Amino acid sequence: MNGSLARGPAVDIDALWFAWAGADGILRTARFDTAEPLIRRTGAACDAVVPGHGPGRFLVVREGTVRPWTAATGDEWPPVDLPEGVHRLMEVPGGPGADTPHLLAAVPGALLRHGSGGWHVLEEPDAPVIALAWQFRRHRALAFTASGAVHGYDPATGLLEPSSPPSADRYRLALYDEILGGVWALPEERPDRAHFLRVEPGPPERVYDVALPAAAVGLGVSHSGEWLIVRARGEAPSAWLYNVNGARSFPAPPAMAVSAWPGAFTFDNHLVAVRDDEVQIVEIPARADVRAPGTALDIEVFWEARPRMHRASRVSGP
Amino acid sequence: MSHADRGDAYKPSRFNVVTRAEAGGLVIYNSMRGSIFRITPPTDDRVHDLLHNRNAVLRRDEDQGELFDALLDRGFLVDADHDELAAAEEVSARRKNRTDVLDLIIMPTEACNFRCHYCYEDFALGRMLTSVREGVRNLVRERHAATPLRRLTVSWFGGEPLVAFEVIEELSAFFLSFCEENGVEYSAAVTTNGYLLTEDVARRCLDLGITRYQITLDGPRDAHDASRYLIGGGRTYDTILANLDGMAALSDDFHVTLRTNFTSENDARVPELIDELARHFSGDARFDAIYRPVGEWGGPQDAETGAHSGKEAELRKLELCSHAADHGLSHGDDRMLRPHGSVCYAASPWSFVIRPNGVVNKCTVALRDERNAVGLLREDGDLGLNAERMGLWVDTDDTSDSGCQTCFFRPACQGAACPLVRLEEERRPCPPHKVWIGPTIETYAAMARRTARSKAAAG
Repeated sequence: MNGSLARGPAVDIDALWFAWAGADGILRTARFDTAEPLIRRTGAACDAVVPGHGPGRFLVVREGTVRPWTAATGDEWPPVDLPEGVHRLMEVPGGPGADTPHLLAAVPGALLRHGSGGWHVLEEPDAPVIALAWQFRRHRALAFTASGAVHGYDPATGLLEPSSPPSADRYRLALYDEILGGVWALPEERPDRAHFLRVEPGPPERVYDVALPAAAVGLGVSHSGEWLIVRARGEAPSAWLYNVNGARSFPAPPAMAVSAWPGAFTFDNHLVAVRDDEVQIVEIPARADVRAPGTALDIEVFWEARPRMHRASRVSGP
Repeated sequence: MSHADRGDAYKPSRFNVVTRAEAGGLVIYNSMRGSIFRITPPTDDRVHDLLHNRNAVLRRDEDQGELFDALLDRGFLVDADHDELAAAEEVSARRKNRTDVLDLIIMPTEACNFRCHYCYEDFALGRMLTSVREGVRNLVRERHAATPLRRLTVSWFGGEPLVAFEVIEELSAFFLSFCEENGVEYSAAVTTNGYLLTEDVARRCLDLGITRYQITLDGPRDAHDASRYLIGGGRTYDTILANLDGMAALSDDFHVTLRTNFTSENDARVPELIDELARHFSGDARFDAIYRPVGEWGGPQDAETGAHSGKEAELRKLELCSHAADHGLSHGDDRMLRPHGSVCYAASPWSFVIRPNGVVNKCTVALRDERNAVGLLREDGDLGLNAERMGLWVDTDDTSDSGCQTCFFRPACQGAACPLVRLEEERRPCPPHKVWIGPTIETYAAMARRTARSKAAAG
């Protein structure tokens, strides 16, 4: 999660509801706590959608405004005008009033907070904010900048705690991984690598520097922390799954190839891709200790064989 | 009426164990009382004479009246007409029929920031669903409304529970206030890898009533980091030790069990760990060490873990316990030898594992076994229990096993040390400390003696 304004899919805090805008600009939802996913075309127009702070809750962006909306009940709140140039947006808990959402937004040159009096500048960071995320276990919002600095915002106190960049590296894309408690970030100079920076409890510190299977233009992470979704531009495969524990990459499962790029993971570790009214779902091995770097993996066995958990020792030889 | 006045007939308890100690003397144990005593010469021979024949009928002899009375008071001798089997059955029935307790093992997430070499879990489920959290609250409310609870015990388990600390905070706040308002005794524990247990988090845990911690270190730094690493291989030992130091600096009352899982690969290094931990925590009675052989716990990596088993593993465990006691790290926790002490939580009808998706299990090991899915917690608190599956876990015990019914260890384990073993292997699940009871009680007697001496020396 990084708060970027996109057509989706956005995933709610329980990872049971997905929301996205189709090519026709109409908002769709799917819920995944039933035997078959329930897909619904809401009829509401939508330019972008990001997660809200509640089960089934989303922020629906349209024509310069944002409106909190709950998929399960259809409840919606009054729209809030978005600041000019907003490129990252998130909702934090503890709003100033029932009808006034507590929002953070990143615009060029500033991190803003929306409260009862409208938008206010919280901070003017040294570099553009490239990820906004909620740290559930720390009850803080995290703003990660292109310089690698982290600004932690505590909505209970309204205080912002900045940190210094850990190195001279500059980053172009980042997302927060709740499990490892850090940020996966793509360095500007090395599009085929990703850095993992631990951001709790102390200031950001680089822990991993990993080789990605392709130059990434997009990144996602599974709720188990086991997998990164690497989105690449150009020829197929345009999407890969990178196994963090085993440091191995695999082309996205075949079922995904016919659809849009893989989107996000559900609560129970299914990879979901969406396009208009179509949803593709693949159950992903939650744990794949791939321990034989440099050898080829029997990909069909890997994805299709039972039991789902599969051992690295089953890789085929070089 | 004193024993001396009665002149009745007595017999040695069927729940006695009498064993010669290597260091000399005798060690005696009774599983109905959970008591262990070391008897030194010359009394050892007299005690042996009184207890060694289970079928003997004994009368109090004035020459050894004091000794006889002591054995009688401690349950090693019982009235000749005392029905010990009925008494053991009553112990078991009393446990199973309790309606005033509720034990919940809650998994706030199945995700984990570690990828331990031997772990059996697959980490497929994320943070506990909002609706399931509401279900947990309603479960406690409904249980108390149906039959008033005297005690609520919560064990936080995972995955790594502190990964979803906000779930722990949310539910703990409810448990604390509910129990306070309703006069229910509340206690909580957490099994954590310790990596996220910073001083701030520890402080918050204590404020939330979590007073018992189990944290695993598998050896000195390099050995630990080779088996208990972050997703992606990151080192963890230094962070965990720093967090433990932070806890030691707190003045609160809590208990940390430092667990070491040993295999043939790391067990030679465990004494080094004991030496290091002793430098940090020796003399702090809040820290205790235990040792467990890695078993074949299920999951895909069983064949590669170098799992220990049988006598070799049990004797090694006792050696390590003894070594830790010598370094002030183990205090001879002999709870598993007391009545109920070796009964698995899964065997009690008032104990449930609540998974992040609301699935109700009995056992925390067989997470993918359908028989273990005994219910599905609804938002209104209904557990949706399947009586047949529940019976697999709570009824397959000493009530249906004639071997267990006559076993010396029956009050401690009640044939229910591991219902999963009965289910999977259709055999009696005797716990290893029962199988190797001689060395076990000898070790614990020695540890108790050393602890008593240390306490005496400390004034």
